[in-house]
Amino acid sequence: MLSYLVSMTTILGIPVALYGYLSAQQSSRVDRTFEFYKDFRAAELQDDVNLLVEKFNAKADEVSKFLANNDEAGLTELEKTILQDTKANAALSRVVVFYDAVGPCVAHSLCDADATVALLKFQAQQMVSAYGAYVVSQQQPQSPFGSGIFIVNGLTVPAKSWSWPWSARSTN
Amino acid sequence: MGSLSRCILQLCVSAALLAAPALWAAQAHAQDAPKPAQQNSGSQQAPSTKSLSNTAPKAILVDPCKAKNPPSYCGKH
Repeated sequence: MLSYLVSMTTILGIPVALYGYLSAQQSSRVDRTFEFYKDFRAAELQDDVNLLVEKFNAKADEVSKFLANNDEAGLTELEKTILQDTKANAALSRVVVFYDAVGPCVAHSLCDADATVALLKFQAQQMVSAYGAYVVSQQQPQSPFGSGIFIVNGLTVPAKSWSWPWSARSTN
Repeated sequence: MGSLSRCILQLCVSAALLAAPALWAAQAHAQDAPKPAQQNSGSQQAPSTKSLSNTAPKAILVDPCKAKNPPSYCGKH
């Protein structure tokens, strides 16, 4: 009788413990992502993003022309012109450096991809759309500079379905 | 005597196996519980002087990555 009890407890206990362990891992990934979001708010990076969006929107007509002519070089030059403003340049640097921490965190499953999409993707998307060409032009072959914002921008919107805690989503 | 010690051993093992996941789950639950807010020397945080229009995320009007022919960097991951 006791040996049956031991066997049953082992059979049931191991999956329960494993599920608990993986759930705790998932929870810590979400917490870590939320810490990044708190840093984003505390460092007032939203103000930086808004400033950069305003500067870009001021040139919306020129952007439209370059897009109509499929002129990527012209778009890059326009972004460089906008970023000659020291405030805008400093703002973009802060945002890019911030995402350079978030991106690898998600890519290596240390942060939660779904939480990152929910909290930090919109701003990354805006920055990649507006200043992606400039960031690419500043990247060095052996340096990770500027890669994080593209990682976060490449995250997909989570499917609304229940998932196992160990099924970490890919970053594309 | 031999059967008694084996019986005790089996009891201990099964009790340990039952208790381990329960303790582990309890510890994880305690970690998830919200921590009490810290008192900031009795004073509340000052309200922000920024308006909603200043703090709300702004969107770009013309999105190059949503154009018919988006630039190459849009697909970069």
